[in-house]
Amino acid sequence: MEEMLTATGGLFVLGLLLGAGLELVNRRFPVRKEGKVDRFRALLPGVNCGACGTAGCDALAAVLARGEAGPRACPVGGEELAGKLAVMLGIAPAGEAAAPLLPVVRCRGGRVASPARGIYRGIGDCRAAVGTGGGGTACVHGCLRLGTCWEACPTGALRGGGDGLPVLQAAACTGCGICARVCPRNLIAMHPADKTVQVRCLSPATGAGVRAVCSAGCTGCRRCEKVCPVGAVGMTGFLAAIDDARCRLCGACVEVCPTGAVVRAFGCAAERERAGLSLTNQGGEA
Amino acid sequence: MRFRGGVAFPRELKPFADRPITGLPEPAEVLVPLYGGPGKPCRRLVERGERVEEGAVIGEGDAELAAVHATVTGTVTRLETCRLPAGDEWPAVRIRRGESAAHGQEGTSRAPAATLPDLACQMGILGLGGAAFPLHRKLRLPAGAQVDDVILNGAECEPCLSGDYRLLLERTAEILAGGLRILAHFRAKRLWVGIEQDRERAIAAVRRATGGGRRARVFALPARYPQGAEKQLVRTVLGREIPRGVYPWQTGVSVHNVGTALAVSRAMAGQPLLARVVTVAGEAVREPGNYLVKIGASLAWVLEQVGLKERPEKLLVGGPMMGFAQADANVPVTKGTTGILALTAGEWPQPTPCVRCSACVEACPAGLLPLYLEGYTLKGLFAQAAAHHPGDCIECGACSYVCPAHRPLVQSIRWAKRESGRRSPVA
Repeated sequence: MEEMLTATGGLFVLGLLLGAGLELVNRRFPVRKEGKVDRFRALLPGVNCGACGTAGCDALAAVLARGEAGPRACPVGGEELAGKLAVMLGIAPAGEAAAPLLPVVRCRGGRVASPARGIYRGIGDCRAAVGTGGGGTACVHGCLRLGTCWEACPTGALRGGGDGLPVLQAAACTGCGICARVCPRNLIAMHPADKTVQVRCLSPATGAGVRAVCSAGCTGCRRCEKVCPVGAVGMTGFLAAIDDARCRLCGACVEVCPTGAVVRAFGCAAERERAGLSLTNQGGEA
Repeated sequence: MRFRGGVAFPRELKPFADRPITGLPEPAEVLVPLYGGPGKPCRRLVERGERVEEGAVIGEGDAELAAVHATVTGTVTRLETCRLPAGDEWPAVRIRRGESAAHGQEGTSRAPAATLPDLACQMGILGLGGAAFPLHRKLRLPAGAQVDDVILNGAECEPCLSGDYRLLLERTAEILAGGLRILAHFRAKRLWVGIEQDRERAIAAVRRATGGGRRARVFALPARYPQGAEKQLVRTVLGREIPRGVYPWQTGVSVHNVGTALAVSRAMAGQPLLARVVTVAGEAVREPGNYLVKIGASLAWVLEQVGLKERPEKLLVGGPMMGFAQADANVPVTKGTTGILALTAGEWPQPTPCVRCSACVEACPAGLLPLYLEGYTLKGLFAQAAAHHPGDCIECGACSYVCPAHRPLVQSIRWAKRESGRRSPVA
């Protein structure tokens, strides 16, 4: 009995002593964790699903802390997390949720509006066709219509439309920007979703030059510039440009554009919250 | 010394060589691109409605660009943007032929250029082998550089073309005079005229004209494509390998097309470069041969003059190996247009999987591995493709030509070239 008590008591005392020692060392020589990584880690869901492409939330937090990933790196967290991460990354001001970015395809020259000028038999990828005089399409600034962007889209938000142009289903878009990076003509820009009035043409050609190849391009007629009540539309040569900071989204320019190069887009972006984020909601022809 | 790789074409692919160069009439209208060299267009010097004389300067640039001349006398009817044969958009001037305004002697009185580079720049001379690089930029060397060998390139850049051969036969003396002028400019020691072995008559003609060869000598090249490529030519003639990223002048050699030498000779007589020899060929052409065509004449006009048997299925500017397919026959003839091929319907074989036979590796004159470049590129692995040096590819097309699986090798390598310049880490 006595031996048992001695042994138990001895171990207890020993445990206390070692514990105190550990605590002492920990206080004296603390391991400094990287605060930034921890702060990112705290925001992430912590399910370690790996959907972001890294090994787990810890790994993604480290990537975020190095500044090598964007606010939408975590596909699980959604817009709420993206807003918080954007603040932490210094992209958006604190307290204000960042408007999600959606791709804008700045070309409306589909098969009907801008008929092909030749038969292209090369590699079926825009990045290959751009080096061969632009494949079969007529406009040297417009969409090559070979689908590199929608094939690169990881969520299927961008799909091929009947006229050969990509069509955006905004509700499925995570704003990753891969489509914008693969487009060899830089036709896709990541654009704040709440700025729904846009110029969908990038051709700097003169009016006659645009009309010769496309019926949906910006001809530089300046009607949009004249009608804009807040002076948000300016011209860069023969191409209209909308200053998003000034635009009130009244749509007057959309009404007067003779070719339909200025459009109201992301139709669903403004309404998709009301519509309940339905995948079938295809308001915007992007 | 033979260059590595390449393809030997059958002699049937070098037809029309027995017909003399035919001058086409003055076109009723020309569309002259303001092209004086790569990079940016020349500054336009004429306005719409202005009358211009043949040979008047209508565009000039800074020191980098050669001048652009009106190729017919007439009126500027439009200032427009045209497509060059390679597909780029470029500003151009449309001139409708008309009566000369001042019916006397030519009113262009410019101070004669003092040096050969200035002359070349003033007379709008671009390399006529196809690349259309400004001659004066090839002639201006940094201080201390010395060129000992000048090679006149009489190896046709591609099969089916025979313009260089005809020029060597018909304008032998002028070509040699131009070559000797370039030689004098460089204070070089030797002038070589490289001609393919199977062009016996041209070799004989040049040998005769050099009179046994004191300063100029003929080099009979093996008839093997792409013998007309600069590095391959230097290797064959001088046995000298030009490494990656090194210009030929850095190894003491300067290569010029025989047409360019002829243009130099003409420029010395005060004539700007207004026309060039174009081989017009293909099954759809009624009278294939070599024609002297004004710069700015449209392909459609040239084909109309030469005569078509049927509507061509495919129109190539350049040769069959490297030529650019055209979607529109209203593209103008430029200083780089070596040939126009109007082809009839043919087989367009579908690519089948690569069998790793390495025929492309054997054929590549640049020592590349086209199959890996293609494989990586089509898989989107651009970093791995870049490690195989796509930048060294001269796009001669030998790999695609020999590939039994009809893989799109050249186009993949061109894609790899573009991508190696624009990769960034994935976010």
